[in-house]
Amino acid sequence: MTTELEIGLYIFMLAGFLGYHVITRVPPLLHTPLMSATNAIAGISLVGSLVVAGADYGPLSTALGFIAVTCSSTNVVGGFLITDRMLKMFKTTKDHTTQRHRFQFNPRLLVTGLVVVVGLFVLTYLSDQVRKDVIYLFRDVLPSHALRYFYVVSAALFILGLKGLSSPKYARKGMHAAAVGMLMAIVGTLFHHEIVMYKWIIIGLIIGSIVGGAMGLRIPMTAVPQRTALSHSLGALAACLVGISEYFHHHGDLSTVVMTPLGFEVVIGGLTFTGSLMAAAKLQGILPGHPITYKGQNIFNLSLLGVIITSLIYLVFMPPEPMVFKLMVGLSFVFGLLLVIPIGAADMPVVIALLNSYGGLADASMGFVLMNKIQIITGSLDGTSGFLLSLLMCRAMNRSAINVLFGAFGKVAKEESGVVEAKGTVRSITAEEMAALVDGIRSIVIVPGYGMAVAQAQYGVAEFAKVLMKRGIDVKYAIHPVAGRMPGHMNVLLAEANVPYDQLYEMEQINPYFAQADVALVVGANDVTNPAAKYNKNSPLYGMPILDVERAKSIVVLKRSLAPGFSGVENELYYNPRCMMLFGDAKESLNKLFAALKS
Amino acid sequence: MIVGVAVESYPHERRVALVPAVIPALSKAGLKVLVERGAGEKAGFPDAGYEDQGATVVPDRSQLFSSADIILEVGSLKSHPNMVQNDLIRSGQITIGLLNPFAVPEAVRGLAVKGVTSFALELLPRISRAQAMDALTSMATIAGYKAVLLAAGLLRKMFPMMFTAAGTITPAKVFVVGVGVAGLQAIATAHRLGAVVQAYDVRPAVKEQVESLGAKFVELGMETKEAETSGGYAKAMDEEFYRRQREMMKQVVGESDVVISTAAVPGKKAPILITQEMVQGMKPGSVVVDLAAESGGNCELTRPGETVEAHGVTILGPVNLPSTVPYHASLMYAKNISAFLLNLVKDGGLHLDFEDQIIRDTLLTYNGEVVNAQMREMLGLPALLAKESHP
Repeated sequence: MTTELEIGLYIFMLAGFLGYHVITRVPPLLHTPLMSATNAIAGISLVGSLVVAGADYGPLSTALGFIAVTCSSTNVVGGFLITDRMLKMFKTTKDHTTQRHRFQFNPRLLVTGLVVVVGLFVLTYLSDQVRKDVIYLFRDVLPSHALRYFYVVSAALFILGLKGLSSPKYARKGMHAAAVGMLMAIVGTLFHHEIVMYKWIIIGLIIGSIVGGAMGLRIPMTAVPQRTALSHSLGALAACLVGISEYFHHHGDLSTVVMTPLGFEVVIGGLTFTGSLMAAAKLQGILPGHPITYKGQNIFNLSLLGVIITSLIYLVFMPPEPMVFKLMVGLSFVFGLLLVIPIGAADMPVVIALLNSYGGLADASMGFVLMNKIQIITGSLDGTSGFLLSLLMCRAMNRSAINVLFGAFGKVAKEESGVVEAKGTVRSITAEEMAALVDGIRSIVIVPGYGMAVAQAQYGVAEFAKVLMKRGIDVKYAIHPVAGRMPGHMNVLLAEANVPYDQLYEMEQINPYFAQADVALVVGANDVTNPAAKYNKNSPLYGMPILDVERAKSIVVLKRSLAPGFSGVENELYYNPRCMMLFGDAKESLNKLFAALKS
Repeated sequence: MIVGVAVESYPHERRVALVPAVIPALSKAGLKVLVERGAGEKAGFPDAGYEDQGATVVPDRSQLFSSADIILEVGSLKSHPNMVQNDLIRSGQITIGLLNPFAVPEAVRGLAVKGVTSFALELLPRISRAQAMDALTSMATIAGYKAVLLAAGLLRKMFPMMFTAAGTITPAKVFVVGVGVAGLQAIATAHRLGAVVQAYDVRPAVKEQVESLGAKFVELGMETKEAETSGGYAKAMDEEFYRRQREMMKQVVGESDVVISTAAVPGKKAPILITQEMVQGMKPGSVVVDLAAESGGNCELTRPGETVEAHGVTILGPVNLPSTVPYHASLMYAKNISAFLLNLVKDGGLHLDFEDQIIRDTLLTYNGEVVNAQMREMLGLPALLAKESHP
C-alpha cells in the first residue's frame, strides 16, 4: 500500500464521519435541497473529467472526457441553481423585506464565472503572446504554489455549505459558499499540468452550462425528483466514462492499487447511470410506476452481481484483459436497470437517495484513481449523505431498507390475493414539519384513542396542548364513546394528566366543529375515525357513528404503523390527501414535537 | 309501536329500563312510550320527568302490558318469573333486556311457548356497531367501579400513599383477577384512589390494556392465546389449567390487601380462582370482592349476596351491583336499549332484518320457538334448520 493511497483512505473515512455528523443535523424539511446540493457538489467529478478531456490521451479518451465534462457541468450548474430556487422558498416574509437590499451572492454568478473563465481561454487562444504569459503563470507558478490550496479551500467551503443546510436560515449562504468552492476547484483544475487542449473542455462546459442552467431555472418544482435522478445518472455516467478512459489510456496495465478503485468506479458508475435513468423514467411516468417483477428476480440479480464482482476481482489480480473489462462495464449497466425495475414509484425517493450514495462512491473511487483528494472528500460526503437519507426516508415510510429494495415480491403476492386495495398514497410527516404546521393555526382538535393509552402519552398530549394554549390556540378534545378498551378509558387517562373537563367534548358536540378546526390531531385512535363507517356497507364498521375527523382542514395522525385497529379494517382516513401520518410511538413523537416547537 | 316501561319486579332492583332523556329520540322514530307509575322512582327519575318528554304514565301494570307492543325491564328472567306466569305478557309481545337466559332455560321455554318474541342483550355480537347497545359492558363498568368503593369502605386501611409528620402511610395493594370491562374499570378506579394495582388475566392480550391504565400485569407464566374466544370473552379452560394457575396465584393474593375478582365465563359456572387456602394466606383485615358471585363466585368461600368473614378476611359476594348506582346505571342502560330499539324499528314499525347480525344473534324466542342454538342445546331441543331460524 502506498502512502498516497493510505492518505486517500484516511481522507475518505474522515470525510465520511464528518458527512454523517453534518448531515444528521439537516432537518427533514431540507432533505430535498440537501439531495440536490450534494448532487451539485458531486459534480466535482467535473475536475477529473476536465483532466481527461484536456489531456491528450488519444481521441477515445478525449471523446469520453468531453461527454464527462458536459455531464458534470450540467450537474454543477443545474444542481446549484435548483437548490437555490428551493431554498428561496423557505424564506419567510420577514426575511424577504430585510434582506432585499443587502448584497447577496447569487449562484447565477457561478454561471457568469464559468462564462468568464471560458471567455478568458478563448482569448488566450486568440492571442499567442498573452497565451504564453498566461500559460507561464498558470503552468509554472500557480500549479506549484497556489493551486493545490484551491482544493483545500473548496473542500472546506463544501463542508460549510452542507453545514449551512442544518437550518433554513443559513442554507442559502451555505450553498453560495459551496458554489464558490466549486468555482475555485474548477478554475484550479483548468491549470492542471496535464491539460494541454481546451477546445473540448470549453465546448463541454458551454453545453453543460446551458443544459444545466435551463434545467435548474426552468424545471417545475414538481419535477425535482426526476431531475435529481437524471443528474445522478449524468454524474455517474461521467465517473464511469472517466474510468473507462483511464483504463484504455493505460491499456489496462494498471497496478492493483489503481485497478481496484477504477473497477469500483466503473461498476458503480455504470449501475448508477442506468438505475437513475430508470428511476427518472418511472417518476416522469415514461415507464409504469408499479413494480415490475418476474420469477427468480432476486436470484437472477444476485447472480449477475456475482458475475460483476468476479470479473472485477479477475481484473484486479490477473493480467489485463479488455474483454473482461468490457463485459464488466456492460453487465453493470444491465444490473442498474434490473435493480430499479422491481421498485415501485412510491418507493423511488429511497432509491434516489441510495443512488445518490452510489454516485458519491463512484466519485470517491474516481478520486482514488486520479489521486484527487477533493474528489475523495466530496465523494465520501455524497456517499454518506445519500446513504443516511435513504435510511431516514425508509424510517419515514415506516419500512425497512431491505423491504423497499427487495420487497416487490411480497407486494405482488398480496395484490394477487386481492387483500390490499391501494386507495392512494399515505403521506408521512416529521415532528419538525408538524411543529411548523401548528405554528400558524388557531384551533386544534385532539382525538385520543387506545394508542395513546398504550403509549401512556396522555401527559405528552396534555403538555403539548398547554404549549398550544399559551400561544392562543384553541384546544379541544374529541372523545368517541367507544375510544379505548373500556368505557371512560380516555377520561381516566386525561384526568390523570390534568386535562380540564371543559375541554373534553363528546362526539355529538364536537362533530359539527371539525370543519372549522385547522388541525385534527389523532393520537392513537383508529376505527372511530374511519370514514368507511359512513358509506361502505361492506365494512364491519358500517353504521357506527364516527368522529368527523376527515372534515378538518388538515389531519395529523400519530400512530405506530399503518396496522388496522380493533375491527381489523384498514382506515381510509390515512389515504385522505389532507391527512399526514407521524409514525412512531405516540409518546416519543410528542416529545420530538415538543423539542421542535421550542426551537 | 308502543314501548312499555314496567316497574322492575325483582326485589331491590332500583334501575329502570328507560330514562326521560332518551324518549325524544324514540318518539322521533315513531315509538310511543308508556311508563308504569313509579317505574323510575328508585333510580331518581320521577314520573313528571317522563311526562315532560312526551311519555304517558299509566297507573297500573295490567294496563301497561295490555297496550304495549314492546315490554322493557332491566332485570333478568330469573328476576321476574311471574312475567311468564301471571299471564300479563301476551303472545306476539316483544321483550328486550338482560334476560340472563342460560341461568333459567325453563323460563325461556315458557316465553317461547307463550309466543313471546324475546331479545337477550347478553347475546349481542361484539362488533363495533353494536357497542352502543352493549348493556353488559355498561353494567360491568358500574360493577367494577362500585366493587372498588365497597372494598375501600371495608378495608381498615387507606388506599393512597402519604408521607406525613405522623409517619408514612403505605399504599394499599389491590389485585384484580380477570380483566374484562369490570376488571379494567376496577383497575382504573383503584389506581385513581391511589392504590398500587396489579392485575391478572388468562388472555395475554390484556396485558397492554392493564398497563395502559397504569397497573402492573402479573405474569404467571402460563397465559395462553387459546383462552380467548373469537368474540373476545374469556373461555372456560380445563381443571388442570386452573389448578396450576391457583398455585402461582396464592403468593400474589397473599400480599394483597384487596382482591377483586371478575372472572366470569358467559353461560357457565365461574371458575374457582381463589381457594380457601389462598384466603388463609391473606393478612387479617383484607377484603375480597367477588364480582362473579352471581355465577357461583371465583372465591371458594363466596356466598352470593352475603358478606362472609373467614380467617380474618372479609369476602363480599355482591349481586346486582349496578342496581346500587341506579341513576347512572339506568341512564347507560336506557342509552343502550334505545340504540337497540332504534335498530329494530323502521318507520315506527317492527323491522326484523335477519340479515342483521345484531338482531340474528340476540333473538332468543320467536314464533313459538326457542331460536338460539346454544339455548336449544341446553333445553335438549333438536337444532333448527337454518331456514327455519331465519324466517
